[in-house]
Amino acid sequence: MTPVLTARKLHRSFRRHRLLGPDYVTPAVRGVDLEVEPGECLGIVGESGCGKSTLGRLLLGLLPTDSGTVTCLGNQLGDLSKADMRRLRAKMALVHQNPLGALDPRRPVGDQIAEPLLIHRHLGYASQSARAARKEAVLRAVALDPVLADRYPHRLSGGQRQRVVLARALITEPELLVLDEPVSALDVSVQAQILGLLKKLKAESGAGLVFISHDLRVVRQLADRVAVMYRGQIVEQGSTEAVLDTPRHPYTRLLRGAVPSLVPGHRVKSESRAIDAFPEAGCSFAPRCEQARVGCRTEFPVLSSCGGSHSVACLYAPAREEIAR
Amino acid sequence: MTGYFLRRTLRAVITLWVAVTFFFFLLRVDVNIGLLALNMNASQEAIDSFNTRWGFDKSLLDQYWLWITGALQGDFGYSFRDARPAADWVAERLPKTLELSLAGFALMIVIGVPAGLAAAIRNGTATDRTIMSLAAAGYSLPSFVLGLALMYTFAVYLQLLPSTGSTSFAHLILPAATYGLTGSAGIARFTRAAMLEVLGKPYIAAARASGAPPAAVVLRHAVPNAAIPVVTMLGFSVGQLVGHAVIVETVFAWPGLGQALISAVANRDLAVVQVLVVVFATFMIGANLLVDILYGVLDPRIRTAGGANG
Repeated sequence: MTPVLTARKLHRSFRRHRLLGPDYVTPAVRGVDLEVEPGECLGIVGESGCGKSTLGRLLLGLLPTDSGTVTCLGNQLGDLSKADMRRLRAKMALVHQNPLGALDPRRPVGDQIAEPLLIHRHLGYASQSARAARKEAVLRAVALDPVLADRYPHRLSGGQRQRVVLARALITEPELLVLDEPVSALDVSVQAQILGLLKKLKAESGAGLVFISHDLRVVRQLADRVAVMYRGQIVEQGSTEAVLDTPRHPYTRLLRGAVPSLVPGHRVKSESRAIDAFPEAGCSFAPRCEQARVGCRTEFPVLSSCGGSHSVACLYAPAREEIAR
Repeated sequence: MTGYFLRRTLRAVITLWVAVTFFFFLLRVDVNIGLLALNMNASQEAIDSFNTRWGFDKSLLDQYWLWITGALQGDFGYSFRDARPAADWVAERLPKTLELSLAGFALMIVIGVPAGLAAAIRNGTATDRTIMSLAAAGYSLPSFVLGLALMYTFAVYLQLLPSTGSTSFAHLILPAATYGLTGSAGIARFTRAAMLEVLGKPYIAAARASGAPPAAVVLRHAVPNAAIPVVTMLGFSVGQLVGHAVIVETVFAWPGLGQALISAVANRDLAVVQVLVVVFATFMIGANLLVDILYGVLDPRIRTAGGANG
């Protein structure tokens, strides 16, 4: 199968101009490679500020890359004309973290759900009735009462709003869906409902999903594969089970330890050694790494296979047997 | 919606009453009106007979009762100077002030809003910087300075337009331009700020991400949302229109309410000052009421907060 999305060596940094002295440069994404197959969900996890959301925006072409290429459905994003790019957007959708912010407060949600059909005339929903029928279908797909379509966003609950945002994303039948922390703003019980809905959509739509989250438990429920990001780089990638059950990278293990466990006596490791500056050479995780050795400070670890599709960017990644314990 | 409207109107009426009452007492408390209205050399008998004639020897509450009952029937007392009803002053001069201020206001919107929109849409470009520099200049320039500059250029130097008076449409151009240009600077800055805030919202990013062309994003999502604060700002300017006209009217010798207020204060013409206070307060409060009502129309969130169903 051809992937719906391929990213090669993506780089993006943010520059803040200073009046005196050199500009502040914050590298947000550094050399990311990834692929998403149709019907597959790739989870991207990492702490806040690691570049997850920037990566999501790069993948959708909402933010220009400094270097590297994104290919979506056979189109290289930078090469398209503005009109072609807008046309392609019907096939690639974004679900934003904060559903209230993502909805226009001044328009009934039903109008907003149907708006992409008005934007993308080429999809063929020319008549009012065709659009209404499609809207009905998509409302049913996200299990939202059609009565609510006449309401304004502020009169819906958080879960209902996220269903609206999903419905708006789905109405053009996209083949790529980037979900940026789609459940973080929701209560746990509502989270479960939305996750259930996303699972169903994933199975039924056949679209490729990029699921960005800081919450490993949520990612585990939905993702087929997981990429762990640290400071703009993918440090570990592989099937969800492989990465989350037998993590090879010290950072992944730290992340997993940060999830509060319900098992009594299971200790939660804290992240106390936050360090701001990027190391000039070597592994960027080295300053925080408990297993860092001399070589980590000088040599850059490349993401390489450590068994099948599982790959890790660590010079001294422990063997599988050591982790199993 | 009806409940919202009624509540707001009632509140406006009460506010007007409070403001007018406050000024009634402020103008009279501990002041010998006769002494003020006549001159310092007037005899005690003359002052006493003046106060008796105009009813200033009565208690304040009695005076207030007479005034407010009269005012409700359209009788705002008489001018000390020419003994004509004070309300006549308003009737004579209000149309002139409205003519000037509405022309200025229209100009203010026609210039200010598009300039602000353009600056926001072209944020950070030369267009933005040019518009904002002009706005900053216009904002800092007092209207009488601009008025005199325009008068010198177009009336004295080029001799294209009359400098003062109010007898023809040509007379209106310079005062209205002075008024509109100074006002539009603030409107442009405010419109730009409101637009920039809205353009930074996630729902704008969402609209762009769904492939909406830039014009559709601006017209369908950004402008309607940015309109809420801009309309508020414009509404408040409506309230200040009449008061603001004072300066421009003085520069161009425009015979409106502003000039009337200045001469009434100079002449200690109490009834005229009082009726003008009523007019200015009515404009201000009326404008606020208008803003509140427009708010309800523009912002669905307010509508729900105010009404039983939305």
